[in-house]
Amino acid sequence: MTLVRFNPVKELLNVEREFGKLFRDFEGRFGFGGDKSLGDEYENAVWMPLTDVLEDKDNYTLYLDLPGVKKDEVKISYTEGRLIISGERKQGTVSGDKNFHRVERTYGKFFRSFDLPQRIKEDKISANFSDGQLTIQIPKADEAKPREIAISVK
Amino acid sequence: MRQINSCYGYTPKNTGNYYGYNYSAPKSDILEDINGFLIQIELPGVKKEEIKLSVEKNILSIAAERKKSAETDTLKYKHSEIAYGTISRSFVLGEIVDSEKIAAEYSDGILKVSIPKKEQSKPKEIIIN
Repeated sequence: MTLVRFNPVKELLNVEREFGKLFRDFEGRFGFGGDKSLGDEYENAVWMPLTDVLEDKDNYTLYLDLPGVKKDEVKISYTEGRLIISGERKQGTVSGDKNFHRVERTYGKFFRSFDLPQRIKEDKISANFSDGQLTIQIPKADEAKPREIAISVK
Repeated sequence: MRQINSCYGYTPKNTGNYYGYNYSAPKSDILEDINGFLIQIELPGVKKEEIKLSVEKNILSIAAERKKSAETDTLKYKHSEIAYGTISRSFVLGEIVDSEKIAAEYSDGILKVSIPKKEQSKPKEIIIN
């Protein structure tokens, strides 16, 4: 059994999510595009990793805090401009004679998505995982990089 | 007082300005079985060498320094959620533990500290004649 951390705000978020769904359905029914759905992984997620986003002229770099998550438990996918990082943090096998005094860490499924500008090299996205921190490097497409234009003064 | 706060009553936040300096209490799980206690502390992005674990009298302290990921003149923050700086947390150890035999390991951003109980404080079965 996974212990789920009590989060009073979650109730509020659920209300927001339900309302969102209602309006999305409405839009869908009447032929409006609506929002791109994030799918089941988003609906089932109970926590999201903290993230830093950095940018330089060649790359976007993302740092995600994922302590206690194994390398093969993280899924990174990229479709139509959206980068999705999802997975599950398992509590591990806790034998019956162990008691919990404190559970502050959150376990279960996590989800995070980022809408990236279209102009990136999607086949060159690379990721590295060390000390519970996931680093994702996203190179920008050549046409998105700032260029210097030489102006000749006559 | 800080030690007591960080152990009981005080709800650890991910970040915050506490007692005038950038203070951050890492999230921890505490487990107990008949042989001892196990504390699991989240320290993502911290190098093993940067974690200091110490026991003084009956207080177990964890101190670490989380360095900001390299920001240079060209590499700039677009969005920041992670707290950097000093991480510290203390736990009060009871009489029943053997502070000489505390062991720790660090992997995947989790520090696991196992604190065995003293032999005399473990439950014993008494044989009925």
